[in-house]
Amino acid sequence: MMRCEEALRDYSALLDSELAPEAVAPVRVHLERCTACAEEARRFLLLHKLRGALHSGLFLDPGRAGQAETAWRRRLERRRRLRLWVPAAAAAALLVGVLLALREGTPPAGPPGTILVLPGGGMARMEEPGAAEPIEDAVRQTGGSVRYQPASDLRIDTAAGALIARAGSDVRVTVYADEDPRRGEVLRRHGLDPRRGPLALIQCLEGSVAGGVVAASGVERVLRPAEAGRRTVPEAARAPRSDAPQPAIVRKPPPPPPAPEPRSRTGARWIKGSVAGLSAVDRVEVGVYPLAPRVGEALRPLRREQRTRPDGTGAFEIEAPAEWPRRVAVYLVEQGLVTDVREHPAGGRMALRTRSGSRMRRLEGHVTARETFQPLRAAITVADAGARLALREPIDSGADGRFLAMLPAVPLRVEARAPGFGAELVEVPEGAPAPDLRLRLLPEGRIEGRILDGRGHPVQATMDLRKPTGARAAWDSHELPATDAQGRFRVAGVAEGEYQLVARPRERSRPPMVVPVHVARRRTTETLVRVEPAPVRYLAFDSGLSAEEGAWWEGRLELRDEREVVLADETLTGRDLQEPWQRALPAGRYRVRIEGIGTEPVDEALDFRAAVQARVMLRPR
Amino acid sequence: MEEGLVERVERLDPAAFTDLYRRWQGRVVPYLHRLVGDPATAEDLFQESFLRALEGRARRWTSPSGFSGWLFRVATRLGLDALRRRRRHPLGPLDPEPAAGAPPRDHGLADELRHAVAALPDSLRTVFLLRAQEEQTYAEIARTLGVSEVAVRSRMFYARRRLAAALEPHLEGRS
Repeated sequence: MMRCEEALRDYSALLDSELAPEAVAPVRVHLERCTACAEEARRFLLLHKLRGALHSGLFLDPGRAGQAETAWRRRLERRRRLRLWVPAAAAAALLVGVLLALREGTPPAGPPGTILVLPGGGMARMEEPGAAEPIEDAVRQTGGSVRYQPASDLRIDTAAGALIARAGSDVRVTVYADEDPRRGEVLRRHGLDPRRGPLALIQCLEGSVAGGVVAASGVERVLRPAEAGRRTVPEAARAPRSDAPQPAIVRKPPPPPPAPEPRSRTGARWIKGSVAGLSAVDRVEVGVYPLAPRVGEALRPLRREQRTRPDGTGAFEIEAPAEWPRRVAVYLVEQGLVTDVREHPAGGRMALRTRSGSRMRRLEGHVTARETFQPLRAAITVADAGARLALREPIDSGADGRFLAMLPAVPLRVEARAPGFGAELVEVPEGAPAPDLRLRLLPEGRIEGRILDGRGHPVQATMDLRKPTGARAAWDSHELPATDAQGRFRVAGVAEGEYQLVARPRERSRPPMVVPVHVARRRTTETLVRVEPAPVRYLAFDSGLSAEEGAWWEGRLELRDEREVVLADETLTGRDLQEPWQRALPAGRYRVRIEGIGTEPVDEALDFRAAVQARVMLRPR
Repeated sequence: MEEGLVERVERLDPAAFTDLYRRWQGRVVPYLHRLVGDPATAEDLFQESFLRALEGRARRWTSPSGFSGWLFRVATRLGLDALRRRRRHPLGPLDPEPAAGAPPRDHGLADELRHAVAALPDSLRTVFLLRAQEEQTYAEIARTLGVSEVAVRSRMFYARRRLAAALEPHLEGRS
């Protein structure tokens, strides 16, 4: 009879279908006769049945394919460059060695040297070391690792962003690039949070320092700082010195391809980019907010936002919480005023530029009542005329109605509001001489009303008040508070004039309504909006997205009528694409615009004069 | 099919790269997750393994197991390296966190099994996972790990024995 262990070993192989047929019978015989083995075999069998539990519902990060592809391209490029560069580097090292030997006879021990780390990479040379700290500590801060020969003396000068090595020493420095998976491991080992901190980009430097030059042994010898351009080298350090050895290595690596959108383990994303044109760094901020724009109109901030200051070279990174939608906007604040705002390109870096060039303009004026010329204490809201975002706190005019502010030299929209008066809006073009703005306010009018359906039942709705602006025949839209449960609404502080009131019922079976309203000064205009029945129209989506892309898709749908009134403005997700979008709409022609992540923008005319259904195609970008 | 995809990847066809990456991501990341006990590290390791496997194609894919075998081999080696590094610089238990997503039907026992697997020695865990999770044959496992089939068979038995002992209280009375 078989030994117990041999029988169980065979039974284990039998479970895996790896036992020869002729060996099965002896195992069965043994198990029938040996109770202990039979019991253990039973447990083996139970375990075997449980193996499905190992297939966890692990969430796979779909964005990793893009990151990997970027890394793959970089590796190919690096290999290609290495093939070209290594012979040239060897020749250059040989040439330098010969020149030094000719100049000084024998290779000098040389003074301690510095290998400069320049923004973007490019040059290495030796200089006298300045204030230094041990490289081990410095590199820990940046998340890299350093290995060097005990005999060497390698330090880093964080102020100059420079490595300092003693001539004649052997050095090997390894810093991991942001996308290198080992980087996270290194950071965790040092007890650092991989999601935070200046993270060093590390290429490998290996070689020995002789006579002020690193004789690299066939590997990259240019170190780049964490984010290109993040650390600056003082101008004094850049300038060649007559008593210092001349630059030995000059290389200009190609700009890296755009990095994939980084996501932390918690799902938060890092929004990265740079700001060009800085000259007053301390007054510039960059912010990010979840995107809730009306398509094609000025981007509108939600109240949630994150801000940071770019560093000395303009680089910035902001953490967007995981719960935010994938579409976010990045804005630039100059002197407290938003001057640039754009949607963040998913997976890319954002390049912003100061619009004012940090030039300032003086904005001065006063606010009076139009009829009595009495000075008014008012809140002055200033926004960039292009970005139209007024994140800055309103300027408070004094009791004499005068206000004064220093603002970036960009076109401005200035709006004054005072209690009991209607708002006044003026635009100040760019480059205009600093005017003494006169904002004359008329007594306010009010609008009160109800929204009812055909049977007199209240309708809850969201509303906008549109008014014509200037000579451009455009309309400015102001969001109003929604109606209460009884369908009532009340608006104060409206300037005299003609308006359009847009009511969008919450129920999709009720159509949006647009009614003209005349507002008179010191009067309350009573308005009754009667929601007429209209057939429900359907908009079906033909999507060329894969199931996975569809799961991640997110976009915004905007529907306008022929008067360019926005009748619907909604966020859609991939799930919404499974069913037709529906809304009650009067017969007519409409225009639908859909902007989504990874899909071509849709801007199509819809003819709903007779039809109740239309289709649009979402094409992957 | 796979060869064609790989050639397209080498021509830097992004669609082919994504296709090939995702195809293997679904298989190798769960394996690495069980091996190293951490989903983020598993994703990192898979990316590195995948790129290395592509780089090594010309030299090593002539093996009978092709790209699959080579990829699992690289992934296993990197996973074990990561575990060794982590043990030298421990940050906490290697125990895997509970997997996200739908729990298996027998939630308690399944969790116990995953914990017990995480507690196996590396040499046994790799074999057990490649067999039980990846359903590789002993011959394939032997090629992946660079050991003999006899060793695979033996390690599989010892892995089962340890798991059965660890789960004994939970397996009692079950059939």
